[in-house]
Amino acid sequence: MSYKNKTESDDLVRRLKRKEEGAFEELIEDYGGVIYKVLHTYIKDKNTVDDLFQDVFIKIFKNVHTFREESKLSVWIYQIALNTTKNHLRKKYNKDIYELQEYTASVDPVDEDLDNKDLRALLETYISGLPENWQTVINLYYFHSYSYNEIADITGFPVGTVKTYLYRAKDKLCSLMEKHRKELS
Amino acid sequence: MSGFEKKYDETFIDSLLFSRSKPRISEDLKENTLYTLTRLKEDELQEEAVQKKFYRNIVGVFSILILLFGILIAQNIQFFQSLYLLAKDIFNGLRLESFVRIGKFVVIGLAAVPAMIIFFTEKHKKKSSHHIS
Repeated sequence: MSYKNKTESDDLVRRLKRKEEGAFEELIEDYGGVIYKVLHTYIKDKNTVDDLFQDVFIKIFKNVHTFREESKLSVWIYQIALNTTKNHLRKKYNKDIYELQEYTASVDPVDEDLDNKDLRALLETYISGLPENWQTVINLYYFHSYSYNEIADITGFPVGTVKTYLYRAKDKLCSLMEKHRKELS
Repeated sequence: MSGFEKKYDETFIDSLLFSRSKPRISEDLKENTLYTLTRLKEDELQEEAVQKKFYRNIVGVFSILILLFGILIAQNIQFFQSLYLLAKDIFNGLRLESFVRIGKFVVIGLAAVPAMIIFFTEKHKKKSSHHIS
């Protein structure tokens, strides 16, 4: 995980504003993975996610000169990614991400002894079964250590909702993992 | 079994969540995205070049027009002279004959000033933009 300090981030912004190809490569390298994961949380079709992923970077490319550096670059980028997702859902399904609340997890238990590596795989499986908004909050919180306020800025959810999603998600994951462990023992 | 009865508590899940490796995208998608961005940059540069050329042409045409306008006024200086004579009749005390004599050149000179400003500004812009790129 590459966390950029202020100077590195400022330098990257300068290079992005000059539209240097290397800067965009760095951006994709640093944030592309989580952006893709967030998009894939809401949209399951791979081709659509690929298209939207490119759209996100085209928007960044075209609008980077408007970035005022009042927030972190990464926050601004994820806002673009989330807005792209929202627009797609609105256009395609006439649905807002606020409406995506229902719990859809239906994960089969894994019948093998679990070391830490497998635990992570199991955790990923359980995370992918959580409601989309919970997944987004979890991904932003744990991959980038964003504050509740920053996640609220990115997603547009109220801060209280972000806290609730995070708490519920963790609680759900705890109980799913516990249930799985008990089934194995 | 009871030894790890409470193994998967919140702290453990927290540490597990923090230890997840950063997701990566496929090299194909990365390459495609970078290719798209390169094409966009090329398109932008091309458009910018066309705009610059168009602007330069407009500036050139306007410079010539301003100069021609100056010459036109200078050639019809008699009209201004008659205006002057009229003014002279009104303000009898004024002695501005010398102005009328050199008026033709003054008007051409005045018309050339904005033309030169535009010309040199454009030249300077061209130089500085070349320097940045």
